[in-house]
Amino acid sequence: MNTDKKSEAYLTFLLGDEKFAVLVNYVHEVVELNNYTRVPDAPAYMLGIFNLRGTILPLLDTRIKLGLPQKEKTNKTRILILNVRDKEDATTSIGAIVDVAREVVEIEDENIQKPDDIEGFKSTTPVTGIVNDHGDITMIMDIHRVFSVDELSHMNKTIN
Amino acid sequence: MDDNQKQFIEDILDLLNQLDEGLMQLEATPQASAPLEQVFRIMHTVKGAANMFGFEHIGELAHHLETLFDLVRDGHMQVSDDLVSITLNAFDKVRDLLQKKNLSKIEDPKELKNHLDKVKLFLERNEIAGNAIDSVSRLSAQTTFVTYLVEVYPNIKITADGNHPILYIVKDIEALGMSKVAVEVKKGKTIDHWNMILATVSTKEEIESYFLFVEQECKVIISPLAAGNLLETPAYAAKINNFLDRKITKKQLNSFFEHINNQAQKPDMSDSKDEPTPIGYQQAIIKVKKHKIDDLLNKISELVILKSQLLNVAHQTHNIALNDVAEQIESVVGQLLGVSLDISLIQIETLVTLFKRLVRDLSRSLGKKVNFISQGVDTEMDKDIIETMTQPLLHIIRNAVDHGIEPPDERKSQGKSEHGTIKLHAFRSSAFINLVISDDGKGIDKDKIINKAIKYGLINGKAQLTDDEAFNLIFHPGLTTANTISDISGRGVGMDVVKQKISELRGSIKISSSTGSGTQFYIKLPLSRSIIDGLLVKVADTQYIIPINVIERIDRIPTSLLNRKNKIQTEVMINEKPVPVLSLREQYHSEKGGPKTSDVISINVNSVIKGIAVDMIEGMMQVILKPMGDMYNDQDFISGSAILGDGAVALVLDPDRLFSRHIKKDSI
Repeated sequence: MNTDKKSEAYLTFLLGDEKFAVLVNYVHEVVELNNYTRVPDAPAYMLGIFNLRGTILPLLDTRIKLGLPQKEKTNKTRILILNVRDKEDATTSIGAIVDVAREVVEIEDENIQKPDDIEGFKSTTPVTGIVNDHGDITMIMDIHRVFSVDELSHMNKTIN
Repeated sequence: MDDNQKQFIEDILDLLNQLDEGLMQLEATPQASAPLEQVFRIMHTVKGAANMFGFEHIGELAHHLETLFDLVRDGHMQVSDDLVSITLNAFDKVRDLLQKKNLSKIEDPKELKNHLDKVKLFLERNEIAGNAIDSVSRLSAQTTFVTYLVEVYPNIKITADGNHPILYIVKDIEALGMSKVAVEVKKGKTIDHWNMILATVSTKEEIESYFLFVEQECKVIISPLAAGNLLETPAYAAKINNFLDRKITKKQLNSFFEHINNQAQKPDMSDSKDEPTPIGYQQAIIKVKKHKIDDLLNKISELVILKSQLLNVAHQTHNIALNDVAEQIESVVGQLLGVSLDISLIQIETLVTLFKRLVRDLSRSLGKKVNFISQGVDTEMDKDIIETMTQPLLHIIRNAVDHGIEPPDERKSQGKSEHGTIKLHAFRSSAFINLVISDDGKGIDKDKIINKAIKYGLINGKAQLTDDEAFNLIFHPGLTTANTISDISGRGVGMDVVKQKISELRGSIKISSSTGSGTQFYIKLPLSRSIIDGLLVKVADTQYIIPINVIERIDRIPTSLLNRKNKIQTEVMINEKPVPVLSLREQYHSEKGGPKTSDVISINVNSVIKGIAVDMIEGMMQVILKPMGDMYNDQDFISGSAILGDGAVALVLDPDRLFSRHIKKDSI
């Protein structure tokens, strides 16, 4: 392994045909989707709550949150248990549904193309970089942008 | 501010509460040595600690106050109103400074100067007066407690469940102050005699007058034991208990207190070796961060859930050995839950000190004479619940002093004792804490409330209200019965907030009152915020828990009655009254194919009956409330979630918020 170059570990997952990666540091674990309880009168991407070995976590639909079309849950559907920042620099655990959870990979920093290098890229998207491995594209996702508790609870309020 | 200083502040704040308690006890029992020693010791500790951590001005103030109390200890000065007030006010300022944790203010000599000057002046005046005890204002005999032994020997045959006037007279006497009673029973349930220890401000003659009409039927012996309220001092109370349990004789009791009386008169004998030995041993106490206890509770509630799962699995296997183990685990986990909940409970004593202070200060400023009596101060409550309830309870007591207790001359003209009494009685019953706050004031004027409610359009002028319904109106926001809003009541929280806080804790409050003789508030609170007794119901695939405390009744109705357009306003006849019913299925679960019948749960929301329709009721259960996280803050009609025995998650409804949410939405 080449130790000279700075690299970090990422977990990759699929939403439809698109491949995404999140920093493994933020992923607590990956579990299968079992039962969850819908919480009424909440936005569509806030699916409900579920029981992770005695702890109650909110369950979020990553597809709906990103504005992608909804898809039936399959036996490959997984929940990523993520630690996201909330307002006071503390972290909260959430469960985010993805179509398929793939693998943990090392990605070298120099292989990540930053958004400003890419033409027509909007800085507001939750994708902070792209890895192009001979046409196999992986998008690096900033989970704090997708699932910031502050923002989610704010949106929850506006919708209601 | 460094960590040591922060720790110092926490410790001193604790001590200051004890000091308040000690000072008020000293005021009530100026002759007793125990409270004086306690006050002295705490001041000394405060002084030492303040100097050590660099809060020299606090140290200086404490030093001068200590000097004052040293004079008292040496018999050169008596405990007086002024002394106690000056001390309380000075330490109030210290508390205030410390709570703000503002180092520059704490170190600013100007902050405490005013109090320091007062203390110095008081000291000078008393030093000039020298040993002239007479120059210090004495507390009048009427305002001090005296503890009596009251023995009642009936000449006739009466039983405790009978209705002879003597039984009621004994009850009345009990209520004159703080009391403990033992009944000696002969064969055949006939009462031989009562032994009562009564700490009261009433005189011996007053107590005797109660027995005027039953003079022929009983013999009454009233003997004063000592000045002050002996029941409030644990060591004395223990002695009294021994007497009432017949472990010691009357003679032994008398000689014990004679000894105490002698000691109080000769304070120089403070080195006496015959100090009453406190009962029990000094229990070691450790301070723990709150979150550690929360973590522990969380883990144990996981264990409770796993235990239910284990029981389910074990039953399915029909393996006797496995079932045995599972049941033993169930029992141990149950005990573990009990013990761990117990950890977060603290005695309501600190609360009682606050109440005493409030009653003392407020009655003085209003020119009223009020005694505060508490019973069951060792009752334990969840710390969070105590914190939530502090302001509401203060409000009730403030109202009692301000509106309940009449001025002394008015009381006198009505044949009452000049001193009003406010009593707090705390006790535990199963998973609830009961707080009864009563006063012997003028009571709530029912007609006045009703007229006011009519004026504000809250009720119909023709409505016939029961007492309960009328008294409940005082919880209505915007209804104050005081003719003039005084400085004391009518600001900060109102009775509506009191009610709201209690509902939030899933408790209940009831009022009873009779004109001329006083008001009682009965407050029932759950032992813990996180344990809920609830009704488990099902709507479509979702399970909900409805807290039992708000449920009035349950009826099964044909679902077709609910199928109307206007969801919240659907009115269904229940118990021959139209009740607005909200169907959870229609509201939140649009799935077709509901059952043919629905169960309507009638709920008391701010004294109005409303219904929640669900598919079916699954049963009663005790669950542990788990928060859903900040993300669901806006879904506040769900107070949290609960994990059921099979691992499924149910939603705990907050009925109050459920209805207010829909009223709000409908009106938009």
